[in-house]
Amino acid sequence: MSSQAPAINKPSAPVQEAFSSKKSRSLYADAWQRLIKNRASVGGMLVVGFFVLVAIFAPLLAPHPPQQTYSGKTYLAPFWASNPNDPTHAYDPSFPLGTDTIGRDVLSRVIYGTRTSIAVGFIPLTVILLVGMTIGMTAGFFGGQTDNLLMRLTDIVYAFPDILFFIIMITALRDTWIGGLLNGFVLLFVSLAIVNWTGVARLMRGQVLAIKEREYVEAARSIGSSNGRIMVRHVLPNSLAPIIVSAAFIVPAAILAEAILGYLGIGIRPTTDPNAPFPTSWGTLLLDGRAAMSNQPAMLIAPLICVTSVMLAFTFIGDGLRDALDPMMKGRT
Amino acid sequence: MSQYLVRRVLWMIPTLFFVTLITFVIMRSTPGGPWDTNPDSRQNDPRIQAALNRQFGLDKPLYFNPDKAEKVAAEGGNPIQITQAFFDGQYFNFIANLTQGKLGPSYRYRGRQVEDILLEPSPGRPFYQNRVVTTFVLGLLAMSMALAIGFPLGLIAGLKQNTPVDNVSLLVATIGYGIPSFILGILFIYVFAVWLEWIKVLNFDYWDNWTAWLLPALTLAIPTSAFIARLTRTSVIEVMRQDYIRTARAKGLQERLVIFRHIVRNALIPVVTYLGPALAGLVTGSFIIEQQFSVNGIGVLFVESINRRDYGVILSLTLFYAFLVAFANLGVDIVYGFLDPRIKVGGKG
Repeated sequence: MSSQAPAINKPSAPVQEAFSSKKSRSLYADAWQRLIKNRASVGGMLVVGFFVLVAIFAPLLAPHPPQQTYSGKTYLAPFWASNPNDPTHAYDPSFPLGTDTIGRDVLSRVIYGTRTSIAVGFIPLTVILLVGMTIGMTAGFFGGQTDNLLMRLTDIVYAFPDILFFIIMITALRDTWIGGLLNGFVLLFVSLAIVNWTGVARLMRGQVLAIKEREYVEAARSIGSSNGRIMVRHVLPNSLAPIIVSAAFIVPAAILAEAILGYLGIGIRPTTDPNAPFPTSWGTLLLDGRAAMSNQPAMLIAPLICVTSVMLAFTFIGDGLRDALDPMMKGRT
Repeated sequence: MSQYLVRRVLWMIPTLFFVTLITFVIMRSTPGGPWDTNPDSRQNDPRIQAALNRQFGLDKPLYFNPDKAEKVAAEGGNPIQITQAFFDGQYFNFIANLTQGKLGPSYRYRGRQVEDILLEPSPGRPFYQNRVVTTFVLGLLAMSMALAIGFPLGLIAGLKQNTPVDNVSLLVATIGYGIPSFILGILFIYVFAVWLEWIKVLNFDYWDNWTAWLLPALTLAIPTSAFIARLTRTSVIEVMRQDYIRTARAKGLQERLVIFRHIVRNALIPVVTYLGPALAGLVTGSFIIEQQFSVNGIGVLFVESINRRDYGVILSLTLFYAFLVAFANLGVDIVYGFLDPRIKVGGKG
């Protein structure tokens, strides 16, 4: 036991190294290192990256225009169900996933659907984060009546079950001018943003309430920093971690909401415009696929696989992000 | 505690009032009335539309009715009558009926009230086989399944932390949690109804065959059970680190007793508090499952009403769901205080 005594005064080599030679890394660089060590998260990121690329390069990847109907080529079988001797299972190599009821290429439609679903996942997110963080920050930082008013407002929005709020907004506004923009795409964004900012606002407020009591905020205040400076330089960077994690759950929730609404027949409107940037979506394809489930399963299976893999990918990314950004919370639900 | 409770319950009144107001505003900002968008019967005759509007009170102003108040005042009505007349608008009439348990008329089912549609069974069926009971049976069944699957899975994973058993359970739970019921429903219908032809999803009544409930309930239960499993696992791991567990082991208690008397009981606390929002989530989330499996509950009615623009039904069902969520959240807050006395619910927040 006596050999331990000098060791206390003289740190062992690895400890010394950890303190001296290791380059100091920021919280986020550290978190990134932890994140890319998590195989499930990396897999998730690859999947999401793949779908984002597909969404961006949809016009290059799609073998056919998604709205083009090929007469005489309706109900072509997908590659795995082809049977040259059976005319009801005819296969044409230029339509790998077959065609739908009116002869449109299923693969091209799924590729264009990816575009809609990815956009629905990411575009409203920016609005949600901006609005939610601003309101949460204001409520948490200033407290008092502002806080009360803003939080009661979020309580009210929070009392609505999300999907029902989307449904009533979309059923009510579908026939107005806003419902017609980009065949219903804009309305979808707006509804998602209106409903989802409350979660971010609550989270942000909780963070700000805790952080504004910290010593470094007090220190900043004592040297005469303005409220705005404290909010931007001290409170905001320190409250970001849980917001980033929540973002990883907002995106798939939005994609799922679109899928459900499309499946209920109130998502993106069907269009025949050959130049529409968002002609269809996974939700709409699921609806079409369900109707043709017994004759043409590829129409159902293809969008189903897409939605499922994106959902799973985001779940793994979200879990990984949480573990990476808050190692103390590792393993929590 | 009681003061907190009173405040909590009182706060629900304005919340729900605003929820009704928002729903009402959104539904009434729709262009066109409920009659002219009905694809089933194109009533172009303006006299019929006017008569329908009068019957359903849709000719009244949306909120306040100052004209009527003036008229009543001119006829020498007392202040109460004048006030009543002033509030004789569509919205306040809806609220007034609501406080008496009347949800108002359906615009599509002729001459029927929403509450009748919800509570009346199909012809020739016993009284309890109505839409509300159907939805709650499905929700409760799903809830029991979620607990029965999720809790043991989480318990085993937590007790065997960082072993292959734990890793596999956690992976299964994460996958189950990541795939929403909506997707599972489509998948199960394709596999079991179309491909294997084991189940029927059309032209039968769930009340005639209890085994038919199992698949929709399971579909609904899987994501919740996965979440419960993860919650339980975390909770078990945390409880196992507590001093009282070490004490229990130190005094030589059998491992079985340590698990059931100490670990399980304490690990249940976060799970129980999750059940409130879980039930609300299951019941509200069930509408898509009901629609997929043709379970004739509230959810199917809701989906049908969207397509038929039956504003009366949409408005009342949204409120019903919002009430459910509000009460579930309230219930959790109360239960939390009882289960874990360390938590002070009286604090600000």
